[in-house]
Formats: sequence, structure tokens, C-alpha cells
Amino acid sequence: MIALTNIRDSIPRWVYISFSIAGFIIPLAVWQIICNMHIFSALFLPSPERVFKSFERWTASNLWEDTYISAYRVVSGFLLAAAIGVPIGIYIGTFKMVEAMLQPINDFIRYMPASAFIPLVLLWIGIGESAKISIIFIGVFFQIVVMVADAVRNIPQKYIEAAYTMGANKGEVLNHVIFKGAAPDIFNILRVNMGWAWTYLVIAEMVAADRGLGFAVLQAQRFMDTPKIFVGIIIIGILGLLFDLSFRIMHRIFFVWSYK
Amino acid sequence: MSAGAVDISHIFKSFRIKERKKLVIRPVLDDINLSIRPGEKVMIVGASGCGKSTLLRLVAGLEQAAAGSISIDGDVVNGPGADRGVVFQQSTLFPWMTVWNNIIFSRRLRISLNSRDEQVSRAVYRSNALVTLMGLEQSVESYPNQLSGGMQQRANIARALVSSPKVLLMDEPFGALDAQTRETMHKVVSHLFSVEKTTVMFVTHDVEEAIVLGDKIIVLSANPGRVDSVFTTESLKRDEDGIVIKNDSLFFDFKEQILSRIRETNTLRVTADLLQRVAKTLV
Repeated sequence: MIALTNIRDSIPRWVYISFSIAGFIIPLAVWQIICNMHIFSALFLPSPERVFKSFERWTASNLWEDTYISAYRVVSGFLLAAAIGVPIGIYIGTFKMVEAMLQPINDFIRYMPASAFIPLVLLWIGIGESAKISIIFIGVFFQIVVMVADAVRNIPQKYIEAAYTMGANKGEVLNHVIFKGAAPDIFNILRVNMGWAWTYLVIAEMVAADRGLGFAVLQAQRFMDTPKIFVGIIIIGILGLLFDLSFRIMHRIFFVWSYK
Repeated sequence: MSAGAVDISHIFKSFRIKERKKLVIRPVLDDINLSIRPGEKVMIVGASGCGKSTLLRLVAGLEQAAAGSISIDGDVVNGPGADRGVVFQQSTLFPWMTVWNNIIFSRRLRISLNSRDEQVSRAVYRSNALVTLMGLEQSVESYPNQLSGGMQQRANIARALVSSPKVLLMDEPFGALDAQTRETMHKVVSHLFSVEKTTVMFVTHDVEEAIVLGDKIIVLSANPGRVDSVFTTESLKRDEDGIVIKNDSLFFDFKEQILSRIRETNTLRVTADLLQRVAKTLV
């Protein structure tokens, strides 16, 4: 008998995978059972079968195009936020002067809802692709900054001191100790924020879009096409999951040392 | 680098600490004067809180003295540098580098290892020699977290020595190791000390360790730290490898002398202080 409920005890791999699959199958089964009981109208809760049919219809028309453009927007907004946010976060976590200047303002903006920026983005940037990318950028940039700053602060002082005693200068400490040491955490922060970038997709595609998964979901809502709403949400979920998984795999490859 | 004369003159150091919600200045080191000859292995012992680690951090340049000066071969210390290697109590090997890359780190900062320079081959040669000397041949490709505590400290010592520092500073390097590993490390290090002509300042709370590894033992008194007494291990009996024989009455007497100095400089103040506090709680 395998002990499954010991605190923090590891379990065999096949058991782990079985439970992961069950975590998807059980809600699906519950969904099907509820639909079979005909408690709710199909308008509110379409059956898995109808959702799948809607998926097939969408595939036949322009699902891949919608997926591509959405992924493009998410990845662009995310990469831009990461490219600017990570260095700023590192500087905030390293230099008190930069922290004093940028952290309070960053925290201030961080609490503002990204959707509230839509009117401003429309006004300043217009209705093109850059507007959608900007919303995703605003959604994750300030989070990346604050999280990276924290990761950098967590580098033990002893490593910094050791580097100085080996003759490293400030730039070398920043490069060889602070950045290299915080890299696995920074990578995880990017993984988490990639997930959040996907959640901002629908909001971003509220801004004068005519394509994309988020746009399609909004459009389906207008036409009471509930199955298509389901398909859109599920596809965003699956894409998010795939991105997450590839980040995890890359983490294992890049940062072998952080695993014992 | 050669030589490595350490001159510590009139060092004062204090810390601000919070005591009963008030900031008070607590003196840690009070007028420390030491002159260490090149190549000398100096052990610093004393009750806990006597400032021995602080003294080492001052020499390392990781702390600033309130007054006084420290110089190495006449050059005043005003910050950390590669002329003083440091081994801390806890391993400071970078977890993201293999043991080899950790050891060669300080050299890599200054010379490009891809060039076919003579400097490079010398750096690699010295690193290899230290790896062999410290018994790390099997571990060079491992990451630090795959090594035992003893092996990690061996790698830390090799890393600190790779750029041939004038002074090696060791702050209770074996304090976190078990007794057996510590014994092994004593053998490894005394062999190392006989080969490397670097000046050593070694802080420990283990008097036996100090006697086995040191030429000179300095007892610091506590609160604030002052140089209480200086002992030399010259007169002790040694085996053919030059290692102090522990099973000898001379050794016991010598150890007892040092221990009694530590006790005296420590307990007098602590008991008085403690008694006062205990008395207060009893009333």
C-alpha cells in the first residue's frame, strides 16, 4: 500500500500523473453529469459535446488565426515588459538610491487596474496592435519590477562579500553574483507573469480588436454563443499551460544547479 | 604575491545596538595592536562576543574601524581585495558554479582563460595543484550543494588561495563541521600551512584547533575585545610531520593556560553581569 497522505512525502510518478489527469477528468465528468440532468438551460451551461462541436466549427473558420494573433500580442507585451522590467528590478534590488526613487512610484502604479488604462491607451497610442500590446505590458510590467527586486534582495550577503574578497568590482558582483544568483528566481517570476499576461488578453482585445481569442469571446458573448465562450476560455487555458510547461522545462535545463 | 606582514595599530570598533529600546554604542574592539610577521600562522581565540570575527572582517576590509589602521606590507587596508583571501564559517561557494569554476573564479575575473597566455597556464596549474592538495579531484565537476560540509570547506580554502593572497583569513572555518571531519580538516590544513607560505589569521573557539594549527595564539578578552595574552607553540613536541603531539603533558598544560586566560577574561564580566540580572528578576 502506498502512503499518499504523508506530509511532503513524495509519491510514485505514475500515481502523480494519474492524479493530475483525474484533476481534469473529474470536473469534465461532473460537467457532463450536470448537463445530462438538464437542470440548467443549454444557454447557460452547454454540454461538453456542444462545446466540442463549436470548437470544430471555429477550427474550420479562423481559430488558428485568432490564436496566432493573440499569442503574438501576449508574447510581445510580455517580452517588452520583461526586457525593461527585469533590469529595473535588478537595479531597485541592488542600489538603495534607485529603490528610493523607483519603488514607491512603481508600487503606486502597480495597484491601478490595467483595464482603467484603456481610455488613456486609446488616446495616446490609438487603436493599432501597439494598443493591445500596451495593455498587456501595463498588466505585467510593474509586477515584474517588484518581484525581480525582491528576488535580487534575497541573494545572501555572504556571496557578495565573498566576491569582493576575491577582488571583484561592483560591476562584476552585479553580473557574476547578483544576476547569476537571482536568475532562477527571475525566470520563475517571468513564468508566473507569462500566465498573468494571458489573463490580460481579453481586456487587451476589448480595445478595438477585430481578431483574436479574447475578441472572439467578447463577440460570442454579444451573440449569446455560450459554447464558443467556453472554447475561447479553454484554449486560452491550454495555451497558458503549454507556455508554463515550456518555462518549467527550460528552468530545469538552464538551472541544473538549483535542483538538488 | 609574497611577504604578507600584517600591522594592526590602535584599532577601535563599536556597534550601535538596541538595548531596552534605546540605541547604545557598544565597543567591540578596544585599542588592538598586533604585528604579524610574513608567513606566520596566527590563531585568535577568546570568549564568544569578544570581537574576534570583527577583527578578521576589519582585516578583510569588510568593516571599517572607528579609529586606527591596518596595513598589509605597508599598504593601508581600505576595502576588500584579492590580496587577502577569506574563508568564512559557512560555505560561500557560489551554488550556480561548479566547484572548479568557483575555485578559478578570482583568476577568471582578471585574465581571459581562452587566451594562450602564460598567465593562464599558471592560473590553471595553481588551481589544479590546490585541487589536489585539498583532495578535491573527484568533486571539481560537482555543484556545491552536491558536496558534504567538509568538502565544501576544502573548496572554499582552495578558492581563497588560488590568487596567492598575502594573507589568508579564516573565520571559524570548521565551526559547522562534525568532530571527525574537523579532525581530518586539521590534518589537511596543517599540511597546507606547511606548503603555503601565506600569512594566516585564523579565528576559532576551539583551543585545541588553535594549538594544532598555529604558530602564535592570541587570546582576546571580551567586552570590549582587547589583546589579553599571546602564546607561541614553539616549545610543544611535534611528530616527524611537524604536527603537534596532543597526547603529551606539555600540550595539556599549554591548553590549560590558554583556557584559563579565556575563562578569566570572560567569566569575570559575565558572572557579574549575569548575577546582577538574576538578582533583579528574583526581587
